[in-house]
Order: sequence, then structure tokens, then C-alpha cells
Amino acid sequence: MKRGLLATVLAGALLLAGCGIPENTEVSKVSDGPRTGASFGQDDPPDKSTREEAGDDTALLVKFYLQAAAASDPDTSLKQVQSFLSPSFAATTLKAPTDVKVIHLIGTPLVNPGSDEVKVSALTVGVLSHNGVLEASEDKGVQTYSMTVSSITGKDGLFVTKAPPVLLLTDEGLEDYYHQHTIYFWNRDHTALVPDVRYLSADVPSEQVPQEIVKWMIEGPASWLAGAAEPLPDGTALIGNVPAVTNNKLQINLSGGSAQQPDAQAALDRLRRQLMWSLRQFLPRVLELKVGNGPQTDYESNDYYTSNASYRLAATPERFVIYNEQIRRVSQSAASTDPIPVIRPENNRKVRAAALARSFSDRGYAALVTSDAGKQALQVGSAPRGEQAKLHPVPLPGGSTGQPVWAITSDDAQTGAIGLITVGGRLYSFSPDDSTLKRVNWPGPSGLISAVSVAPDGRRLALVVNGELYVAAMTADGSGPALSTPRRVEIYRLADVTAADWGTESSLIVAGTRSDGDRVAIIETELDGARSSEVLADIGNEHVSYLAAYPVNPITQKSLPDVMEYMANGATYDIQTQPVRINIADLADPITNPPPGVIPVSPFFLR
Amino acid sequence: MPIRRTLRVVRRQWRIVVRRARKVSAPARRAWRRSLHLRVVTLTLVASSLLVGGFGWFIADRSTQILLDRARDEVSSQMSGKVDYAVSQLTVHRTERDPKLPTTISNTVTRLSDGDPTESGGALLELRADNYPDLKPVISDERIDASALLTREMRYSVATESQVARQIRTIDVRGEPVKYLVWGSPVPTSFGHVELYYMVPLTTEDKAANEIRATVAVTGLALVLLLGLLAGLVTRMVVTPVRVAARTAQRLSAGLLDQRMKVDGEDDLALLAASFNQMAANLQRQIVRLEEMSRLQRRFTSDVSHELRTPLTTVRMAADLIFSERDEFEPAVARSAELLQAELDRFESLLTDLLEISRFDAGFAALDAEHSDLVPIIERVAERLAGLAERVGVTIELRLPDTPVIAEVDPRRVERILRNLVGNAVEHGERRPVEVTLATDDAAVAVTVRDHGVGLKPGEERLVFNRFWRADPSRARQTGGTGLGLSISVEDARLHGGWLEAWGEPGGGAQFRLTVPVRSGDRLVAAPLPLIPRDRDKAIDPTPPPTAALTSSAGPASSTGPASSTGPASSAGQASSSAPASSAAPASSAAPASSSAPASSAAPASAAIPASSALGDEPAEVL
Repeated sequence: MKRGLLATVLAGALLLAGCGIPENTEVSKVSDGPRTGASFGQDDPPDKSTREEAGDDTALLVKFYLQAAAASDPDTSLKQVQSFLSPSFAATTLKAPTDVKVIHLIGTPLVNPGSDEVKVSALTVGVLSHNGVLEASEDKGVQTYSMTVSSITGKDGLFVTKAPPVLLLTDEGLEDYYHQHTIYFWNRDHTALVPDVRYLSADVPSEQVPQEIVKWMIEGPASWLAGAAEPLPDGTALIGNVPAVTNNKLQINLSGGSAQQPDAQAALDRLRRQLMWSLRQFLPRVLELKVGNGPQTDYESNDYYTSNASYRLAATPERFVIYNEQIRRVSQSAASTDPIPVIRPENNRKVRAAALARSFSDRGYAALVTSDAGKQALQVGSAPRGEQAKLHPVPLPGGSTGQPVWAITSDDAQTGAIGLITVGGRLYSFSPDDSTLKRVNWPGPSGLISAVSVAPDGRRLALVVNGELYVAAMTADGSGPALSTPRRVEIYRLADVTAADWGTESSLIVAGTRSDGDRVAIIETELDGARSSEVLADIGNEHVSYLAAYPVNPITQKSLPDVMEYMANGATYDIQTQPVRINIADLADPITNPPPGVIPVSPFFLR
Repeated sequence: MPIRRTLRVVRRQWRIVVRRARKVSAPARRAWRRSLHLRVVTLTLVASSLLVGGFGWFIADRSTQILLDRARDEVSSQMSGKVDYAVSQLTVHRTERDPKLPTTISNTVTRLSDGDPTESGGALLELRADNYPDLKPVISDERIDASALLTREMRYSVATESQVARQIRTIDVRGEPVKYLVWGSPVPTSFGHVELYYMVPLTTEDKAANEIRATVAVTGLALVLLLGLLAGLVTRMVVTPVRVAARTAQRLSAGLLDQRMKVDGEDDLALLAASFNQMAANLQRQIVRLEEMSRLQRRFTSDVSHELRTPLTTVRMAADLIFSERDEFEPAVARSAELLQAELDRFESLLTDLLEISRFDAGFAALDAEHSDLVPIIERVAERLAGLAERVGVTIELRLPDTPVIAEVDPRRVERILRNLVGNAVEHGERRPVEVTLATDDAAVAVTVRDHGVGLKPGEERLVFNRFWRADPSRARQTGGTGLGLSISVEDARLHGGWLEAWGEPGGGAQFRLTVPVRSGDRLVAAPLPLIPRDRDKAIDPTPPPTAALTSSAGPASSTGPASSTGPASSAGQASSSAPASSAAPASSAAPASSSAPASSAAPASAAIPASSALGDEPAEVL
């Protein structure tokens, strides 16, 4: 009986032991593997020219060599350049990757038959840093690079046997092998996005572009914008990759720097607007954004457009000119039949120059340079929409007075509104509530500031100093505006610059004397000078004293504004395919009995 | 041939094993046969073990399945999230040569394992690209060797067959075996697919399963034991009264007629006890009544015998006077006087026998044992019957040992027995010699009396010892036996603790054997002489089964019949030495037959066999 009992218990225990979790099992198939739903771009990277392709053509080899640094990452860049170098030279120089110097060749490289030496003359456009910023270079003027190209026994083709120890890239190479992307940062008071132009290698597949852009944004704005543009909150980092667009959706997952701010909701909204503007070209229908531990939020409307001040500008500008010391509207422009805004009719007299602006909340701002009995003054005021401002005078120092311009028209009490004007070669700021001019310190090389113009975002300035063009960022805290270290724009097409204004959010319309003669030309140039084109190649030899352009909406993808005007030799011209003079007939209000010799001058726009 | 031999060996060994097993298990089987209690408890234990074991297995198995299913569902859902994430992360790489791909793989593993709730529990994540050997696999925890977790089959299923697959594997982690649920899925990319493996330790599930199993086992065991106990108690409740009833019945059958069962309650067992008690009471009443009747009968016989003796004495005196004066009477009267005398003699001996029987029945007979030599007793008997023997033409041959045969016997009773036996033999001797043989050994003394007369018919071996039994009642008697001689002889032998047995066959004569112990009170196991005569033994059948049965019979015996002549005994010593061996078996089986009742009941079956060979119809005895 005991045995039987024992056996039964043992059998039971064995049975029970058999029904635990097994130690090892066979592989069991659950289902078929997933299929990907992502679509992949078909954009192939551009072909690179190699040393072998150049054959025995020294000029071609030099041309290819000066494009070899174009690559998506510094190591590849170095490797490509090294492939042109003779092994012995490569062993001694260019061992570690450096930033790439972007140059504009002056003439063609000088190749002398029978000689191995090649001379390359070039202007330095800038230095392309790892984050796609084309930084300003310290080089000034034409640089000459000399290199030797020769063949090596036992090997086909030519080799660069001696070259300057920098990675050089021609602006042609930059244009061919890089794509320009504009990313955006908020200005300090969060009223508008500040564009920041970057270059991304065309080798980067389109799937990775959004990720690179987000990485740039996390790294912060370009150094020259640092004071004006706000970087992403500390601690913001990209989690994982930015996956390729799937189901018409772009997913971005950031760690929670933004979410930790006090106004987390507003910060998140700013972040997504900034992202949407920066990724606008790659944005499918939906942006899915997840920040930190916050919820995933889908954004699919175009409401972000308004965050860019350039977008907020009216499609067609309200154009004004000064005629007979009075502000007049120009016919066939927007609201041409309306009265002059902000300014009371009795104040519209003795005007030499003016600036009118309207804030995001539709408050009107006016700044008039008047000249009464030979004494110049600045009349400043602001008023809500539909009302007219009471202007108060701001005394001007002596000296030639430039065109006033409203830079910041903020409703924020602390920032307030700031206008800029050049007087006697110096830059001053004024505000609608203050009766004094404030000198704005110019941190650049000393010289007379002859013109200033403000980008639509109100934070970037283009200045003409001593016939050279500079861009600088302006910061405005309680103590008044200040400028960041300005950046000179290298414009190889012009020998000097006399006037400039913003044509788009990232390009300038510049007037000056051509570098290849004494004729005056109007050109359009990138802020970094990497690319430029002629708008009007030749407008005679009268220099342009003043130029006004109404920046184009970035959504339209136009590279030139619709309306550009300039003054030369006391006359005002509208820039069409050629200059068209603005006459009395172009004024909105008919002038009966016009005084002789009086013509419209100082054109401007309601900005 | 060798096969056959081998088979033979195997069979032999098997038989040995079976025999040993039987031997070893004999006590258990005996206990199994004898105890209802044991059977019920064992069967309950076995049945409940099977039942509880089955249910336990079912519950434990289901629990484990549920635990595993939950773990699988959990892992499956997590896995699908992870695969989705990995897929999305890898979408940015167009080719496997993308230099940023290893970084993405590494970051993806880090990210997936960081965000994993089970990561702290030791879950592992590995992203491999078995189809692209240049891409190194990345695992979330380098300290654990995942190669043992990922089998080749698993990797084949996922990498080559593009299947989502799962497997359970056990590896040693810090010296402890840990079970892992390994889940693998291909992660599609634009250049093919890589593989994501998620390895989740099943420690919690395993522990829970073990606990459930242990609980089920303990509960089941407790349940089985409880059921066994319960069955034991219930059976005991039923079996105990039955055992009491059995014991009571045994006592009752042993003569303790006043034994009764305890009636407790009103249930079936109480009814059994009450019925049993009623039966016992009825039996007791009946037995007492019968005993009383028997006693009265014996008393009546005794009284009648006593009462007849007084007038008989008077009649005897008168008859003696008449007999002595018969010569003076007329011949017819004288003849009547002789007749009267003879019948009175017979009447007197009948009365004497009746009184003797009455003494036996009343239990008054007592053994007056003393160390006696049996040789002179036999010789004396032969001598006394010599006259009768001579008259009927029979010689009595004595075969006695030369040395005295001393036994502790009552010489008077032994003499009476032998006188009866020899008298009967002489009477039925058919003028052929009667042989009286005496033999002894350490324990017993045997005397056989052999005649060669008509013998006994089958079954008459028992009947000869009945009171007043006659083989042929119509046959005239030469001597007047009372019909009680052999009955008295049997009682005498029984008083000695000895046996009196008969053998006979029709035409082959008969033999009676008296066996008594050498020491009074000893138990007989064998007789020194065979019951079946040696001549018949050989002539009829070398094997003695019939006689063995016959010897067990002992009936009331006969005669005090007159022995006319007795031949001197010849030597019978040669028989005595071999006798015990040949008759050992029957003797032992007949041992309890000293009390006549049970022995006689066993006789008919065994008596049937010699009956077939019996030819003669000689009555066994006469009065």
C-alpha cells in the first residue's frame, strides 16, 4: 500500500512537474515579418568628379580638386581631397579634416604650359563649418593660392603634389554639391522667426535631411545671429532619428528642454512653428511632434506661416513717395485711395523722408524727417489702427540724414518699438515714446554708415559702411538696441556699395559700382555672398543714393521682390526689367498745377 | 536453437522472478485479501490520486499556459512597438553602407532598452543584421552572452525566412538558470531587413508557475490523504460492527451461547446486530432444549437399565435354580430352562453394555491409566477366545514382539477393545486364521486385528462403529452380540486419546487397528502399523489414497461378542517397523478423528474409492 501510495504521489509530482514553463522550446513562428510602409526618395547624390576623370588636363584637375571638398561629412571631404594628392604629399599635409574654405575664383586658374605650378586667385566667400553655416572669413581681398600638379611615375593621370593646407571649395562647387536650406530661430521677444541660411551636402539622402536640419536647430543659430536669435531651450536633443516620411507624416521626437519651461504650452507652440518653418520644404501633410514626456501632437495646418514676419507682409505693398515735402501714395498700389495712415494731415508737411510701419497687432508707427527752415528734426509717433498719431519731435544732430526705418514694432512694453536712422555717418535709434535719439554703437570696422535697412524680422540689419555691405543682428533689451559683430558680405560683382535693402528674408538687393568697370549695377545677393545675380546690370554711372525693396513672401519662392525702387541723381526709379522713372503721374492723388522741378523722391513702403 | 535456449533461460528467470515477487508480496496479498478496510482505503487513495492528480495537472497546466500567454501578449505588443520604432529609425538609411547606420543601430538599441519597462528586470534587446556581416550586432547589455539565447534556428527563421518567431531558452545568468522568452522580428529597411530580438526573462512567470504547482501539489496531496483518512474512517464505521459480528459468531460457534452483539442506534448495522442476537437466542434455546432432551434420553436409558437389573437379578436367581434342576425336568422343560439361561446371559450383557454406554454418554467414564505391558493382555484375550475360535474353526495367530510393550493405558479397557475386535474377527473369520499384530514406536502402540472373512462393503467402515448397526440384520447369529461392542470400543479408544479404525473390502476380509499413545495424554501423529494389510495394499493398489481416507473413519464399535477360540499369536514384529512410514500421512490426517463425530463426517467422500474395488458383502460386525 505504501509503495502504491508512493508511486501515485510520484506520478502526480511528475505530471505536475511536466506542466511548468519549459526550459527550452522549439522555434515557433508567430507571423510573417512586417512590411515597410515608408517610401524612399529617388534623389541620387550628384556624381563627383574624380582625379582619374581629369586625365592629363591640369586645368580640369584643378577645377575638380577645388570641388573635391564637397561632402556630407568632414572625413569624406578629406578623403575626397586626399584622392587628388600625391601619396607623398598626402602623408605630410591635410591629415585631419578642417573647415572648408569657400572661394570665388577670380579668372581661371593660371596654368603655364611646361610648368607644374598653378596659380589660383580667389576671393574668400566664407568658411563652411560643420553645421552648414558659411561663416565670414577673415581673408580680405584676393588671395592667391599656388599649387603644383604633376604626374607620378607608375601611376596614371596627374596628382596635386603641393597645395595650400586648407580644404578649398569653389562657390560653383558649393552650388552644385550643396543645397541651401533656411532654418529659423525665434527672435528674443518671440515675435518673429529669424532666418538662418545653411548648406547641406547633396550627398545626404533626402530621408536624412530633416534630421540634419533638426540637429542644426539644436546646435543653435549661426554665430552672427547669436544675440538676436534664441536657441532652442537647454536640454533639447533629438531622440533617435527623424524617420523618413511615412503615411504623409513626419515624426520628430525631442527630449524635453522645451517642455520644462514655465510657459510650456507656448514654448511648445513656438517650437513647432519654428520646426515647421525650418522643415517647410520637407513637411508632409502632418508633423507629429513629441517633446519629452509630453503627448504626441499632430500639426497639419498652415497656421505657422504667420510666425514669419516676411509672410505677414502684405502681398502688394502700400507705396509712398515724398512729393513736394509731403507724403503721397503711389497709384496702382494697395490702398492707393486711402488717406496717409497714422499721420495727421497737418503733420504731413516739410517732410524729407519718412517711415511708416504697422505692428502685428495693427498699431501704426510713423517717423518723419522734417526740415523746417534748414533745421532737421524727426517726428515720431504711434497710434492704434484707424487712429492718427500725435507726433512728437526728436532733435537730430547735425550731418547728412539717411532714411529712417522702423526695426522693431513690438507691442511688448519692455521692447517697445525701435526705429533706426543714420545721421552724419552714425547709427541712431529712436522710439515713438522717447524724445531723444540714442546712438547705436557700431562694433565693426570704423567708417561712416551711409545706409541701414532692416529685415522683415526686425532683428537683422543690412548696413552700408564705407562702401561695403555688412549684415548684423540687433538685440534690443531695456537699455536700447545693440549690434552683434557685423559680418561683411563679400560681393565680387561690385567694387563698392551705395545702397541696399532686403529683397527676401535671406537676400539683399544691393546697388553699387560694378567691379569690372565704373558702371552702376543693381544685384541680388545672399547674405553670405555665396551666390549673387544681377538685377539690373547697368543703370548708368550715377550712383544710387537710396534703394527700397519690399521683401517677398517666402512662401512664393520668388528670389526677387515685386517692387524695388531706387534713387539716383535725385530721381526715383521703379525697377522693372529696366529702370522706370516715377513721375508725378504715378502719384495716387492727381496734382493739379505741379510746381516745376519738384519730383517724387524718397520712396518707401508701409512695412 | 540458441534462441530457444535463451528463451528457456529467460522463461526460467522470469518464473524465478515471479516466484520471488510472489513470495515477497505474499504478506501484502494476504493483507489485501483479508482486509476490506485496506482495500477500500487503497482503492480510495488510488482513485482520488488519479482524480486529484488529473485535476491538479489540468489546473497547473492551465495556469502556466495563462501566465505564458500573458507574457507572450505583453512581449508581442511591446515588440511590435519596438519594431515600429526601429523601422522608423532605419528609414533614413538607404543602403547598408551608410556610415551613420551603425550609430543608428546602436542608438536604437539604447533608446529601446532605456524606454523598456522590463529592462530593469534583465530584458535584453539585440539588433542584428545577419544578412549583412559588416554590420556588427548591438545588444543592450554586453554582460550577458546572448549567443546562447539566440539559436541558429531562431536566427534562420527571422533573418532568412523573414518570420516573426519566438522561443523559450534557458541560460545561466550569474550562476542561476534563467528562462527567457526570445522574440525575434525582421525590421524592414530600404536595403533589406535587419533583425530585432527581444529577450525577456520569465522569472516572475516561472516563480508564479512553480508556486501554483507547489500549491496544487500540496493541496492535492492533502486532499488525497484526507480522502484516504475519510475512507478509512467510514469503512471502519462499517467494518467494525461486522468484525464484532464475526467475532461474536465465532464465539457462538465455539459454544459460548450467551454471546450477544451490542445494538447501537437504529441503522442497518443495529438491525444486523439485533437480527444476529435474535438468531443467537433462538439457537441457544434450541440447543438447550435438544441437550435437555438428549440428557433425558440418556437418563432414561440408564434408569431403565438400572431398574431392569434388580428384577433381572431375581429372575436370574430363579433361572439359575431352574437351570440347575433341569435334569429333573422333562426334556422339553429342560430345554426351555437352557434357553432361558442363555437369553438371560444375553440380556445381562446387553444391560451391562447399555450401562457402559450410558456412563460414556453421561461423561462418567474415567481412564484408569497405568503402565501396562500389552503383550500379556493380547495373549489373555486370545486365550479367552480360543474356545470360540476352536468352535468356529478359526485359528488366532498372534504376532507379538518379544519384548514387553509398555504403554500408559487402562488395561481393562484395552482388553475389552481387543476382546471385541478379536471376537468379531473370529466370528466373521470364515474358518480362516485371524491375525493379531502388535507393534510400537516411541510415541504410539498399534494393534491390528485381521480377518479374511467376507469383508466390508464400501462405506461400512464408518457404519461398523454405529450403535446397534448390523450388516445383515436377518442373518442368524451364532453368538449373541449386543450391537454395542464397537461403539464402546471407540469410546474406550477415545478415552485413551487413541484411534480405532476399520478397513475392509468385500471378499478381502477386514482389518481393525487400535492405536494408543505410549504416554497418556500425548497427541497421536502416526501409527506404527498400517491400517491396510500389506497383502491387500500390494494386491490392490500400490498407492494408498483410499485407505488413507478410510482410516480416518472411526465409528462406534462393536462387540463384546463371545470369542470362542483364539489362536496363539504369531510374531508380527516385521510389520511394526515399516508400518508408521506407510501410514504416516493417513494417520496424521486422521488425528482429530479420535472424536468420532467430525471424523465420520469426512469419511463418505474418501470411502467411495475402495468401494469400487470392493467385492464382498460380508457384514462388518455382529452382535
